[in-house]
Amino acid sequence: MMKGFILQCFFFVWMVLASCVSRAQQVADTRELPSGPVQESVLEKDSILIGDQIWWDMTLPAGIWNGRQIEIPVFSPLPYKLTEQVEALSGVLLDSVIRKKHLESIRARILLTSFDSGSYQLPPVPLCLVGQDGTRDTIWFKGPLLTVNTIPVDTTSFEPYGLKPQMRYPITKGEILTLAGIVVLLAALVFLVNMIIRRRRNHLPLFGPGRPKDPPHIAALKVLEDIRTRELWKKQKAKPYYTLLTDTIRVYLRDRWRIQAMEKTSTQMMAALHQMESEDPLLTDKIIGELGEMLSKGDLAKFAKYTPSDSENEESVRQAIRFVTETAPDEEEKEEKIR
Amino acid sequence: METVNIKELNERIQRESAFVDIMTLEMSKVIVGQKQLVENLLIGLLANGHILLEGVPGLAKTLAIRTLASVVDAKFSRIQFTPDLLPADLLGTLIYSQRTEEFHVKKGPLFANFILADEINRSPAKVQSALLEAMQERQITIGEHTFPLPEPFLVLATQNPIEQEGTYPLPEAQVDRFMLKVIVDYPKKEEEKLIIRMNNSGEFPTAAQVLKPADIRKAREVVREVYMDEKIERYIVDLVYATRKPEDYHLPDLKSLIAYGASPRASISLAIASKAYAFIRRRGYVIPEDVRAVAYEVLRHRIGLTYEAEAENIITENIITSIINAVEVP
Repeated sequence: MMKGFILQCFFFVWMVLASCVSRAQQVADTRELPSGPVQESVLEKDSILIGDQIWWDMTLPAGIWNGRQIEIPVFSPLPYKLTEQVEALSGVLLDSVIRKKHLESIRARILLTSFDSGSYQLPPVPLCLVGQDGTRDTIWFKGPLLTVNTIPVDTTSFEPYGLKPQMRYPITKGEILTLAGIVVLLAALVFLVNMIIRRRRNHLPLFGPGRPKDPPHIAALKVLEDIRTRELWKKQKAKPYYTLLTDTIRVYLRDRWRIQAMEKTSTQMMAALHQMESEDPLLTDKIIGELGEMLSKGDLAKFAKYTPSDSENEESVRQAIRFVTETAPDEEEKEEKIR
Repeated sequence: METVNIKELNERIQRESAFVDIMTLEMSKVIVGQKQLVENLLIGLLANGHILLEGVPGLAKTLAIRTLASVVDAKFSRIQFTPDLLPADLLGTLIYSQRTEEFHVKKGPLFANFILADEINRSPAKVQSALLEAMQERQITIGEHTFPLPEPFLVLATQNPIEQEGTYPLPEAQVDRFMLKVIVDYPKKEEEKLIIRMNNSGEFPTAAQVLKPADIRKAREVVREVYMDEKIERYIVDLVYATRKPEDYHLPDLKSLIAYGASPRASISLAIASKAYAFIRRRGYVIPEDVRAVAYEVLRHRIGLTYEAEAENIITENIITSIINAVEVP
């Protein structure tokens, strides 16, 4: 009996507490409206999904407005929290509503959003009407109830999605042009450096056309004349003297007839010249023989420690000069070739 | 500073090299054509370097060597290399004498002045090694005794470029010990006609003995004295170096074709062979022509080709030609 009474008491207390909990979940208009005229306001929709935006419309009839200046509340900074969960994304935007060419009312709108599900009582919003005589009249708009729903998750048929690949943004024209510009700039830089190195190596000025290269016979004669006038055989030993002499002739043969003389021995050079004899009338047995004599003497001096006399050395340079002058192409022939 | 009297040396060479003509004449009585072969045999003899002869059968390789031996009053041995040959068959062995109750040395055929190692690639590596060691050391050890080989000691090995089945190709390290590798080519038409006539006549000519081993030794001394200028030495080094680093000599294309270049032994051989060539030409000094004349024989077996070169049918002679045409002559 006693046990039954205790159970009944416990049930009664539990019922009372349970009703308190359920009442606490309901949103109550806890804000009391201040004194003054009150107007109703409406939301575009009764409920929205989380993150959706909704317009809150407040209508001020033309009769009440009566041409007075309207002062609106300032929401700053945006987004402005109207309540803990509801944010205003815009300030109060005023607009006139005209029907049949007559001003019917003034509409004030606020764009709202919320990122929490639940039902929220919006706070009252005042609009102050200032008359021409300075009288102020505040009209309050009652806040409606905004229900924010969350997206229902179906846990029974839930299938996880795979990871999304990294988003690839398309390359823009600007990016392409920048890259192309860099490449062109680098290529130009490489070309410039290469040109500078080559010009320096060839002893040419950095800008402008270089000095034209001397024809083979002029170049050879310059060196040979220098050897002759400075009488190098008297200043140097036979070996370096003949090395210079034969190398000058080799360069001349290479540039004049394209004979690979630098890589040929004296005998091979003679053989190559005899081969050219039929093609070039300037090459005669006599002049080739004379050059052969000079080259043989050079070989002896270079490889056999032979020390020719001064007269022999002088004769060698004369033989070399004779060979070059007699085989140099004359101007007429050169002009014909150009033609 | 080294002083060389070239004039005096030239005169000496004129005297000492007189036998070259006589020897060549005697050899040409038996060998028709094959001037290059005879000349290279002479270079090997004078430069104290062994020779590897390569050519198809019937090109008078064996005859040339036999004739060379007959021209010089020297002992000649011919060893036919076969797969079952043993090192002791070449070097000799210790034989127990029941009468004296002692071991006696039985010297092998390598104890001769001229050795013809016929078809050297037909014997296994151990026999080749035994021969090549004797070539290098110029002495043979049997049991506890070491015997110097006679002077002149010249090994002339032959190998056949065809019929490679069942052969043991000489390893690169052993091929390097041959100073020259001579490729023996077919005789010319006229020469072959003469060969037929000589063989049909029934009387095969023989070469007279015109030289003594002492003459060879003396000639070798003179060859060593032949003057080689520093410019020629540099030219030799350039040629050999170009086989190792062709890109340094404006030959970048050869880099992919050469697996390995010639060894320093090639430089030594090129120098001494050039001196021998200059001696044959009766000159007391070496000129670049001498180096070029022996370059193919000295370098052809010392350059390793890559698979790429083999695929493109490039042979070492092509490489040597490119190098000779690219390296500046002093």
